[in-house]
Amino acid sequence: MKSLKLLPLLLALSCGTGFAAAAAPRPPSEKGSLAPDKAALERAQADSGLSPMTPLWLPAGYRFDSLAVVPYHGKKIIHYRYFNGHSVISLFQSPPRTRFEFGKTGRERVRVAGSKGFFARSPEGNVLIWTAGKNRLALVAPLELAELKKIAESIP
Amino acid sequence: MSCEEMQDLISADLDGENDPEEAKTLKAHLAVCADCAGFSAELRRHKAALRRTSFPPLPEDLRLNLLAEARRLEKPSFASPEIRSRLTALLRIPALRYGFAAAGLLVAVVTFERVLTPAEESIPVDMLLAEHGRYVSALNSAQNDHWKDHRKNHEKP
Repeated sequence: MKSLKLLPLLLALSCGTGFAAAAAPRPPSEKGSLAPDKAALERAQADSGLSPMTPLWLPAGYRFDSLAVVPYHGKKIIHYRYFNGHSVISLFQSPPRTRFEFGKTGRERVRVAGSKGFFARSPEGNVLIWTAGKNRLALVAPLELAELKKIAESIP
Repeated sequence: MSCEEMQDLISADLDGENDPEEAKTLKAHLAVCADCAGFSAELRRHKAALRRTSFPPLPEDLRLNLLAEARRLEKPSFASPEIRSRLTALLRIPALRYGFAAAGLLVAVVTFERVLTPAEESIPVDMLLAEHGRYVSALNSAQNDHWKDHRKNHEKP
């Protein structure tokens, strides 16, 4: 069992991006482990300057796994990872005055929580991007649009 | 005066525009110059012929359009003294003067902010996909290592 508790630390070291906010074994959160623990969120906020935004709903079996702050061209993006034992849901939160660019990937226009969003399919996972307040958010997961939208709309 | 200059006086005479002095000069010249006298007589004949010609009446819609266009052209422009004096009178009212000043300031501030605010930074979705893929790979590899260790420990006698 001890080796299981060290799994997040090994992951954070092998990924090599950002910091291992979830490196230490996590106590179960009040929301049934959907949300990161308070200390991890505080560290993410301090490192990125963003107010963390996490979902209150995830498909059955998914739990918060870890988070990291990923630097990109001087901007800091929070990468939240949720895991169900087989697949990963990634939630990216980027600062104001940024936008996610699809490039050549085909995308479709959707409405997410009353605001404009885009959905695209890719071999790595389906992508939903939208704006919540001043933050730009993106979900990457092997899930269909309905479930991605449900996750997005559960973010307070 | 030359005959060329006299032709202007002949034309003006037909329109009744010569003053008495010019009329006297023209009369004296026509008495001694057969060419100018002939030219003057010719012009009088043409004018009389034109007077006799009857023109068809203008179509009503064309007449109305022409009148409307004439009225439009007569409207005072923004830069006309009348408009300027009205604006000056308005600016003498303190409330309006401060209102215009505040509106101008607001426009300046908004323009300044828009110029100074940096453009949005693009983050390629491919970068997010790569980040996601990297984590999935790391997770799978860590899981495999974990189960290998687990199996090894259980295989030990």
